[in-house]
Amino acid sequence: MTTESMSRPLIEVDRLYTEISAGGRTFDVLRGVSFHLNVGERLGIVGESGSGKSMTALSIMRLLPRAASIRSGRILFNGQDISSISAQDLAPIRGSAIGMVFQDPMTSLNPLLKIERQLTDGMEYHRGLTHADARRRALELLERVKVPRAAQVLASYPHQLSGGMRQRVAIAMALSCRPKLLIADEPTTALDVTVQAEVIALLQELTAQEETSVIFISHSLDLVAEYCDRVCVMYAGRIVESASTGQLVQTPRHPYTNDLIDAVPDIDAEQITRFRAIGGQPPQPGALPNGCPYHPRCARAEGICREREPLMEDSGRAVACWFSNHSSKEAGNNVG
Amino acid sequence: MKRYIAFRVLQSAVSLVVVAVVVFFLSRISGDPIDTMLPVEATAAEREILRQQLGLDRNILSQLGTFLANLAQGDLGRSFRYNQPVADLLLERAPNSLLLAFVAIFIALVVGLPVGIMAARWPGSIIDRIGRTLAVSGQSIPTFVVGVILVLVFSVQFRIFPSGGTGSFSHLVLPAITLGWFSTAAITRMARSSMLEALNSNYITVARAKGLPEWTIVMRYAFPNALTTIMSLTALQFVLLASGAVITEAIFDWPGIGLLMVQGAFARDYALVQGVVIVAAFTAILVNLLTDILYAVVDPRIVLTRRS
Repeated sequence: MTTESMSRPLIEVDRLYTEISAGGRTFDVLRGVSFHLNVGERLGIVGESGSGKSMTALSIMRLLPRAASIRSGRILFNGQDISSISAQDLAPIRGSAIGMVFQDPMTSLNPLLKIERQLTDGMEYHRGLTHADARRRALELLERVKVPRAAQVLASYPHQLSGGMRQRVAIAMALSCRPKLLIADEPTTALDVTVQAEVIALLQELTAQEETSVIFISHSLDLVAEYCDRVCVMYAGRIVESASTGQLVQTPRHPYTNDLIDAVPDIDAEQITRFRAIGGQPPQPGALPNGCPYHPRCARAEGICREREPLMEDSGRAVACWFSNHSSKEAGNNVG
Repeated sequence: MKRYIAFRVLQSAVSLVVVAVVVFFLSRISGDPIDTMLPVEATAAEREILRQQLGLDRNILSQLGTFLANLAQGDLGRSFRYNQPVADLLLERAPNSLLLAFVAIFIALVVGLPVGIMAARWPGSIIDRIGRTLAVSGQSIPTFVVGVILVLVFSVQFRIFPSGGTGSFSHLVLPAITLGWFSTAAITRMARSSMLEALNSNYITVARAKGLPEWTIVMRYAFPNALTTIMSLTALQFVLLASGAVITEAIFDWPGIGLLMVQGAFARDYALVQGVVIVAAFTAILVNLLTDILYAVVDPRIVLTRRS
């Protein structure tokens, strides 16, 4: 992997606004999300439920539920804006250049179709493979995702497989057309802890082999820190801090990031003392407080936090907090 | 699979016996058949002779025993009114009813499935509104009104189709539409709701994420999942149509089983009514059995869950 290919952006999300209509009201669930991802890079997106992580993924995949739609902004994939292209133009991209793994393996496979059908039809459609060739590659894929007795699994229905096996199949499915970008939306949340580690290791191995870029979505900062090069922290439909994993974990600038780190129990310690839950609830989309959306839960909040919302620019190390400037000299240009 | 089928066959046999007993007693609460078979001026002695000839003087349990024993041999008894074996009467009429029911259910599927599927794919669209209108009108306008309107328009006004009788394909058109009217509505509604449910499933989002063409997603990924509910409804509708097309058969003078049963009931023709109901029940049980076996073919999970 050359440094040149590392620095070329594969996907650039630019001031993405996604809105949703519910109960006769329309409000933004994404409020100007911007980030970029270079070729071969792994980007983690962290946040609590409702922060907009999944909506970001679904916006990129154009898989938003019926009530939701992209209001404005651009999603540049290899330089092409895919935020508004037709279904026809999307066909060679979705499932082929961009693959996605979903959260719940128990419901993400079709109960009435054999694994063989579900693994091969994408390759037959996108790559024009004959069924025999697609089947051969499916066997290969299953072996690569470390599914034992691959031929037998191909002939099985999803209900005959365990959750971990199903998620491996789902990963094989997402990678079957050799995507440039893999979006993994909480791929391990529904799995046993031991299986989680295996699946993460597997993702790490597979994406490294093919130089696949990854957007890894999780509510667990721990998991993201382990796996990703760079992390975006989302809160209330916005990215509030973005940095390389090391910087983010060692010197978090946003109080929310700090609180997230404190909320992870430290298992190595003799006694679990650092564990501290974040008080209060994340705001509901459409019912945001004035000012910084985190201020009701923030220990550092002052007058300005209740009045004006701090903005940020995507420039490597960026943070959206009125007080991050005081603690850092470089962050002066990040407050908008 | 074999155990599952054997289990369901056994269940069906038990249901059949229960139905036979219930029918036997129910048909006997409708009154005394002797009253309708003899002239009013018949003497008590004459009535008693007829009663003995028909076996109606015997203990009711012994009558039941005879009835069940005969039934086991396929003998449905003799119609008092037609003075013919009930089985012969049924065999003569059943093909008419079956033909009508087949055509009616065919119409219901050919109209209901595509409309229901498209309505689910594009909720709120024109086709969805058409489907909803169809469903509401189908389930709220009674059969006798539909039949009469069709006769007025297509037989009386435009003289395209005959208003009754049998003999040719054109005789079949109006009764089949009339009979299929309600089922079309029911199947449209069921196809829409079960397809909507399937299309909102996670595995459909996953299939879309694979970038598959819309047609593949709707027909190969969603439709089979909607099929089991549609299948059971269709089977149920078919049984209703084949055995209970009383009104339609009466309007179009269609010589089927429904008409036969009504005539039998009016004449207190126990054996005939029993026969019709038992054959109808048998059809229902058989169709349900076949549907359950088909389920297991469509949905690989079913055998597993029933066994455990």
